[in-house]
Amino acid sequence: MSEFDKFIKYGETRGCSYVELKEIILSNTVIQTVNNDVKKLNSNDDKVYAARVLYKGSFGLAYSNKSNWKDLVDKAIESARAIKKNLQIKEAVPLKKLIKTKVKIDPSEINLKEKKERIINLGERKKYPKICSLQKIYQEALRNYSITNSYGQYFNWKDSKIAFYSDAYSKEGTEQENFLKRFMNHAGFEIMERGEEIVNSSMDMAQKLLKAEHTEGGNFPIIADQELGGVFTHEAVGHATEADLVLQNVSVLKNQLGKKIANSKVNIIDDGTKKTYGWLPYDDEGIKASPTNLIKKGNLINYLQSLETASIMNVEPTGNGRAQFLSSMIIPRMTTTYIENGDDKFEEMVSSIKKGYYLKGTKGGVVNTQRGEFLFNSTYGYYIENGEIKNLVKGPSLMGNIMEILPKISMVGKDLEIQNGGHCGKCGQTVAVSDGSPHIKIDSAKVGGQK
Amino acid sequence: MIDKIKNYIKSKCDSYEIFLDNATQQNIEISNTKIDFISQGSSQGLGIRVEIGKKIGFSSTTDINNFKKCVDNAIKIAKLNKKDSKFEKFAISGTYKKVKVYYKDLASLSLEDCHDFINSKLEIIKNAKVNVTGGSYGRSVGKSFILNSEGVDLFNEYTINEFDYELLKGNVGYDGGDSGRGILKVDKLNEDLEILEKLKNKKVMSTLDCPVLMNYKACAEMIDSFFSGNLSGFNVQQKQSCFEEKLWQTLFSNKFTLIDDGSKGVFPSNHDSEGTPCGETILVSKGKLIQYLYDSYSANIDKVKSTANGFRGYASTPSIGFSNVFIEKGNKSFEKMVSSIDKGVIIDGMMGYHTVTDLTGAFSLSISNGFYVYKGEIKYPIKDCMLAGNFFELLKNIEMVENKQNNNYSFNVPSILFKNAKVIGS
Repeated sequence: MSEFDKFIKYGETRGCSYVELKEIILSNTVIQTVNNDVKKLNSNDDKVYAARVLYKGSFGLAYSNKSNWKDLVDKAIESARAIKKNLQIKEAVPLKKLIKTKVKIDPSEINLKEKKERIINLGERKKYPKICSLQKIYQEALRNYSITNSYGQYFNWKDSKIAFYSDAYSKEGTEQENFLKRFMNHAGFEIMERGEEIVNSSMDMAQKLLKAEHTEGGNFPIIADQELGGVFTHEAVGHATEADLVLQNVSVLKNQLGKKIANSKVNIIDDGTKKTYGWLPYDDEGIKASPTNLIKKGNLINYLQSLETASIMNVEPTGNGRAQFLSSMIIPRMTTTYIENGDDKFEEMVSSIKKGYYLKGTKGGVVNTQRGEFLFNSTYGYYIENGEIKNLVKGPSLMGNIMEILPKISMVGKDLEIQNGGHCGKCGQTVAVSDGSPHIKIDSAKVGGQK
Repeated sequence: MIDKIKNYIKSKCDSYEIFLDNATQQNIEISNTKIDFISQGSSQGLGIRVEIGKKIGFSSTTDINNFKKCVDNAIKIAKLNKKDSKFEKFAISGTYKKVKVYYKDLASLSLEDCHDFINSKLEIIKNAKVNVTGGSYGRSVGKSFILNSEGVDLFNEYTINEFDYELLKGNVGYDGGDSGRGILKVDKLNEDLEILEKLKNKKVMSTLDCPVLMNYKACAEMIDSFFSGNLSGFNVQQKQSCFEEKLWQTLFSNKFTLIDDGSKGVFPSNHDSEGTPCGETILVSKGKLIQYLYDSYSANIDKVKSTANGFRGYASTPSIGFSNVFIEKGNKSFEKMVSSIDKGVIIDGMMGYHTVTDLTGAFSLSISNGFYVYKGEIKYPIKDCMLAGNFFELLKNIEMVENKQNNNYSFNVPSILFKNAKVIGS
């Protein structure tokens, strides 16, 4: 009997119907440079252990940096005891799954000095004379994550996750701008091959935006590029399909299952199997990832589920039970969320607009699922006049209401790109997600502008 | 333990800093006006910063017994690093104010006591026929040590707790909460329940250039969003702030004075996370920018004293941020400010601050909760509106400032009436 099995058995003899033990051994490296000076060269080693139990129908959780499993199980039971629920989770079959993120260049085999030199040398700063400051951040997380539970399941994921940010600041006279470009994925150091292009393009856009005009505020037809369309999908649809929010009566998509909520051209999927930053082969409850159709031909057909919400709604879990840390409560979260390809052409979208905007990129967004209101920002865009793309504009915010805007997606392109890696915040927890979309046209959206 | 680490580290480098934190936490999650989930646990960690010939290294670990590996790693990193000629020394010791950071009554609450405390608040909300859709309570009781080669040698026991709730009545929602170092009074709960009533039957309004009265909650959010990054001395030095070369210039209305003071407010401390003593820092005085926020590193570069604004956990080096923020009060009551508006809006909260362009101050934010005012009277709550403009312009055009400071987490601010801003409606 392994050490894990011994303490699972201990929890069961104390009356738990389910015991889950977890362990994360994490090694992080952060390199931050500003104008070729190294401002951070940090290394962290973390070990965290947690026990989650289902005791008399309620979950309880305990965590620590020390692997005192008996104490953790006892404290998890104490936590569960204070709650009165009647949860029953579906029994799973015994399984052993060892997952290893594929890397071409193992980050642990490159020494810190070489990494630091590579980061410093990225970008041709001299080509961009209006750049007054350039910040680059490299984050590497090497994680060994194990889960074992009462059903004889054991999962181990040896993961390598890298994120890189280039933030360029430009100045000309009294005008100042900045442009942040980033990429991130479960991968090895090989993804830093894109670093040069990312740094140069952040400097290029920061310079160009000095000359860009502000947008005019008001309601306009807009075209969203793949990146902005992705954030739209995440904010305007994804969050409102999370089952915990539905159960708390704070989602406008409650009681909408099976109903038509969007234009028939709209199909939206959440898929943890996609090898993006949002990749989640098994969720934090050991449920295998699979594509979940959220909207099909405009109809809402599924919510995103954790074990607990699935138990309450009497449906199958969807592999979306996630927690930021082992100390966090597991709740339904997105993985990689995207709009499927349609068959409209980008040129036709542009030519259909008399006065509007083509908006690109994103600084992120926010949604209030109870009121159905969302707001997100593009990073830049172009004015469209009489079916033609005109001058560059500084990226405005877009605001709207979920139920009103979904029927207004009138055109869906056939150029889907899932490129965003990002961090999504909910209930004080941040998790890695991705999103994507083809170009989409929205007939009327509220654009915030300074003009 | 701290002595063992000190003895191991002191001969291996020119200067050092040891940061050790150990805390226990209880977390209670709320859903549908019931306690939904409880977790409890402990966390501990050690962060080591060393300097060898002006080369800096940092390493952290949760395995404190294995501190030698952490120290050796920090030293290895320092040796790999480039010389940083701007580094002078770690934080220096000073005179520390006597500030209460540990409340025995909070520390001694059992899990059951915390549970009962939350249930008593939920009962009040339930009696008002209001649902708490979601929320959480967290309590942390900990010990921290900061010790460095400049003579800083500090040990603190501390307590923190925070309660957040999302209220819903009918289809109207409103968020609130309370936080502090002692047992919470949650005295804003009744005020929040009253606002919730007033937010019923929201209406659209047309686009308007008009006076805007931001209440203290909206002001706190705005100040945090616009000023915290831009006032960072580090960001100014790296040319990543709109306040570069703006010191001693009058940038805002003379009715606007902004102060940071880590020793006061609901989260008082006697020092920041480097060990610099906390005290009052006037940042903007009657519209004139007079000071940036500093940690020890950025202060040494500008040859000034640290303002005690270096904050960190064990796993990171310090970052600069606000501690407790105060805006000087004015001389008008909130009611007086409302009655002075012919046609305008009151804003209680906005959404989307992360989309603000910090460098230019340009913003377009969604108004989550607001009211339309006509001829000095609040007419109706508004929906589907944005506020667009520029924070520089907004803060130049202050008409009136409320005659009291209201607490909202670490902010203590009055409501402010701005002469003109653009509200984008239907």
